[in-house]
Amino acid sequence: MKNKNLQGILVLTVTAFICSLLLYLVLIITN
Amino acid sequence: MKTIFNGIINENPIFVLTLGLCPALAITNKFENALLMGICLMVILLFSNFLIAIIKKLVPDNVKIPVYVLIIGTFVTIVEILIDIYVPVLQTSLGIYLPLIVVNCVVMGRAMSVASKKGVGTSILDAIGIGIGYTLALILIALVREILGAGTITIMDGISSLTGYKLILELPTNNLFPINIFTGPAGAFITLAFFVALLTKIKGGNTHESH
Repeated sequence: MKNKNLQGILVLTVTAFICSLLLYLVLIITN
Repeated sequence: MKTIFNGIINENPIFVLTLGLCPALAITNKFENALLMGICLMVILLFSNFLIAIIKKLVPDNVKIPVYVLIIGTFVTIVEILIDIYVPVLQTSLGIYLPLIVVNCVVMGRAMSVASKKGVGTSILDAIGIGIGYTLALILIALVREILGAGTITIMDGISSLTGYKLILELPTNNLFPINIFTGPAGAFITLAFFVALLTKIKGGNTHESH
């Protein structure tokens, strides 16, 4: 159970990081 | 091909599943707005379904919804940034309904029911089918509402800043047309109800029987 929660937090953090990176890239390209 | 056809007729998001009705009723007062909204939703649905289908095995059940909302939100923001740069007029005509795609039931529903369960190929085909179905439904409603309510067909008005052409067809008016009620919310509900009834009749099904 603890492992599952940890995996969830990790996946969420990594997704948030990748999404913000993607947005940052789009902003740089369009400017 | 069957998956795409299924999204257009059997599982049409507006006429059959009755999902995402908020923009369908609000922005279908012009043909152009309906078409662009449909295209925006199709692009967002395509990318989000593709990404969700790829990472579906990594995401545990308890964080499914936050991760999906994050992914859909990213693509919506990207589309919004691009529209803001290339077609800024659309920001005013589509208004709040563009950012609201994040919480659109169609996108979230397909992510939960198809992309998180089936393969990448099926998810992409489903996104294309549902996107075309949604766009066609919006176009149909918008055509009826604009022709009856305003007596025009706006094909290129807001996007003329991008294409360089402006195209608004004006239909002859008389004592009967235009009927102003069709440009308002009441007209939207009447048109939607008419199309839902028509599609149910064509499919030959009775909703009471199917339950």
